[in-house]
This record gives sequence, structure tokens and C-alpha cells, in this order.
Amino acid sequence: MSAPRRVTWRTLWAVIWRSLFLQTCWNFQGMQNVGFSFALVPLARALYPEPERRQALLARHLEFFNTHPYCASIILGVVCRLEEENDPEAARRIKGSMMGPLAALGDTVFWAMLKPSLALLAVCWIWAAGSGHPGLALLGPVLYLLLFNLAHLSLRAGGVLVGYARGLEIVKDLRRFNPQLIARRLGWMASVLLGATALLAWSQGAPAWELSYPAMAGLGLGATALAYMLLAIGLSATQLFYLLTGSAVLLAVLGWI
Amino acid sequence: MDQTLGLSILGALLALDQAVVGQFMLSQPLIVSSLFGWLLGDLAMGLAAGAVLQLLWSNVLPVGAYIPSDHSVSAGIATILAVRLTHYGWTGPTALVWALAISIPAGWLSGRLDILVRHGNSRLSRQAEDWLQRYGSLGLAAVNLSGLPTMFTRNFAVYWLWLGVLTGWLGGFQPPASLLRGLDVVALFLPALPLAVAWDAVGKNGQPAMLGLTAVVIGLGLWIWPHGGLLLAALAMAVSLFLASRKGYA
Repeated sequence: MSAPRRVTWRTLWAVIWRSLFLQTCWNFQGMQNVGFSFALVPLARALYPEPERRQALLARHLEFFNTHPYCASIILGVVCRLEEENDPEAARRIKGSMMGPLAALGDTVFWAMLKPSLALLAVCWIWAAGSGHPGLALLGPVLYLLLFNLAHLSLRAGGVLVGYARGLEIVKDLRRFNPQLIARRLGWMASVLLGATALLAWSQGAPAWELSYPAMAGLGLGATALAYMLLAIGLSATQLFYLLTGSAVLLAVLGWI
Repeated sequence: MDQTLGLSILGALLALDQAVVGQFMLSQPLIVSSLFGWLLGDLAMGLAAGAVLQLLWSNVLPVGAYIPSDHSVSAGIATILAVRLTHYGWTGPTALVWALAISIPAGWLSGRLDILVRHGNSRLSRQAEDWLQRYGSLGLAAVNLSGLPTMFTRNFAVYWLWLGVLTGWLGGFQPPASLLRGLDVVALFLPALPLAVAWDAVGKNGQPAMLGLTAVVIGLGLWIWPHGGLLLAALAMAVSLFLASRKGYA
């Protein structure tokens, strides 16, 4: 007869809620260690009535931990399952083995592709609506928040729930998951949006410059390509901004523009 | 002064979303600038600032132990100052460039202070087990959540310093004509920077052929029908979302 489950849905949702504070005490030594242990407080309460055993569980999870903050939910779910099965050594090992790959996955999918892709979607909409229709343009940021958090919160909540349900089997599930494929699809999306955004941005300047649309587009795309080349040789966006501003002001002071 | 206080509190709260709590993207320049623009009665400026600033730093990834400049703080302060400058007679794009030039150091300072706070957190982390033994899970909660007031104070101080000091200074500042002329030129070329950065961010997984084809289609569309931007953008969005969701595409 299997032991009765002590981890309830309520416990898991409390862990999900606390996972929002995973990085509140982020530090250079243990990184997300304090936040990870903090997120497991509902689990410790559910599993052990004795304060000593609760504290022992939480102290075990104060060791170094760092991964992508959204993907940490998967590890939290698996740890809930393994601690419930009274296998703390397996919980410790799975944390160590999963945090690196999940960090790479989260960084690739969320930070490197989804965030800039959805930002392009929003900016494309804002520049298409133009400054004359701010109410319509406001849909861009709203869309950005909705779509991003749809993915974010699905992983936050689903990660804990699925991680708990699958336990160590989640490792096999994750092997079938191909982040490069997702990144590539998002890359197609971002490419289309970047092409559209670039033309929409430069077309708005055409009337002010009294240029035809093709001439304005050519000039704008040329300036963009030049800026891209300067980024490629190692300048940051901030350095580029100050270089442009400083040069323009200097030329203006000299009376050349 | 009351407005500065309120805006500083709101900005400091939004900046917590950057890494300290949630990460719902409420701290992104697109959202912060739009919100401040709307609150200050100039939504168009907020959206314009948000669009530029969101893409301008889109290739900066908060990976591992790297702590970049705080772009949320820079964007918030830049938008507020830009709106205030328009009240002093500056034109929108020129005001945005000038406001951005004096707001970027605020983000840099905020990032440096962030590093200091994280070093302080290392000390707290070493004490966490002791607090856990003494006060149980409440002690652990106290250690973890202590990051909230610390970071809020850091964010608030930077907002307050920049808005409180610079707004007064800008009110009496008479820009020379050459400065305005230079900033006008920067404003005209400004879209090149965020677009180039977005290109850099998308680069590795991007598809140059698709980018070029879309640019040609949109360019032709705008040439034929200059006011059809919104429809063309909607078309590009539909195509891009279709490509992103298409199964088996690799």
C-alpha cells in the first residue's frame, strides 16, 4: 500500500506563488539559493509537523542554485515530488544536473528570442498606428504583455505541476524538447517583423524630410546597416547613441549641419 | 514635487519587476514609458519613447551573474523628463533625445548600486541558515524578502535624484541653437539605432531572406498606399505568428 500523499494542490500553488520571489535575495555566493528554499516553505509545512525536520529540509535547499527564473519551476516541482518520497539525495542531485540545461533553455527561448520578437511585434504595431492614434497604438504594449505572460505564467505554473506529477521522468520529457527549434521559429517571426518595422519606422520620416518613400527607405535602411556594422565591431547601443549625439552636436556647433 | 514623489514611487515599484519579483515584463521600457506617458497626459510621447528604448537594449541578456545597467530606470526617467521638456517648449523627438542622453547614466548608477546590494545579499545568504534555526521559516522569509525594501529604496533614490535635481535645472536651461540643431539631426536618425540592435538580437536565429522579402513587400505597399501602414503591419504580424506557430518547421 502506497503512503498517502501529503502534498496537495494547495501546497503546489503556494510553491508557485512563492516562486515569484525566487530572485528577491539573489546574491553572488548562492545566487537563487535563499529564494529556492523560501519557495519550498509550503512543502516543508505540508510534509513535516515537527519544526526540526522542516528546518532540516529548508536548510538542505540553501545550497548554491541558479537557473532561468521561469524554468526553476520545473525543478521546484520535481523537488516537491522527491522530498515527498523522502529521497533528499535524489532531490539534491536533480537540482545540480537540471539547473544548467534549464538555464540555457530559458535564456535561449525567453530572453534571446521571445522577448525581442514580441517587442518587435509591439513596436511594429506602434509605428504602424503612428503618433496620431495613440489609443490604437496602445494595443502594442498590451499585446506584448499578454502574449509574453501567457508563455511565462504557463511555464511558472505548469512547470511546478508537471514537474511534481512526472518526478524524475521529467528528464526524459525534456530530452524530447528542442529549444533550438523554438528559437528558429521565433527567428522567422522576428525576421518578418523586423523587415516590416524598419520600413514602417522610416516611412514616417518621409513627409518631414520631404523625400519620396523609396528614397527615405533607402536612406533609413542605409543608416540602420551602418549602425549594425558598428555594433558588430563591438560598440554597445549606449556607446553608439552617445557617439551619434556627440558627433551631431559637435558638427552643429562647428556649423557644418 | 508631489508629482515627482508619486512618479518616483511608481517607477521604483515597477523596477522591482526587473529581477527582484515576478518578472512579468512590467519593468520593460515599452511598458514603463507608455504608462508614464499616459499618466503625464502625453501617451504619444510615452509610446514613442517606449518603442525606441525597448529595442535599443533588446540585445542585452541578463544571463548568469551579469548585472546590466537598469534600463527600466533609464526609460522611466527619460520619458518623464521628455514630457516635462515639451512643457518648456521643446519639440517631442528632440526632447526625447536630450532626455535619453541625461537619463542613461541613471540606469548605469542603478546597475552599480544593484551590484552593491547583491554583495550585501551574499552576507544575508550566509546568515540565512542561522536565521532559519532561530526563527524557523519566518526567519528565512525575512532574509529573502529583505531584498524588496532594499531594492525599492535603491530605485526610488535614483528616480528622486534625477527627477528632483534635473527637472528644476532643465526648467531654467536655455539650450543654444547649435545644440538643438544637433539633437534634431540625432532625432531624425534615431530609429537606426534600435532597429540595428533588434537586428543584432534576432541575428543568429533570424532569416535574412525573410527579412528582406518583408521589407520589399512593405516598402512597395507603402509606396502605393502611404496610409496603409496599419493594415500592412497587421499582415506582417499575421504572417510572423503563422511562421512561429507552424509545426514541423525547422
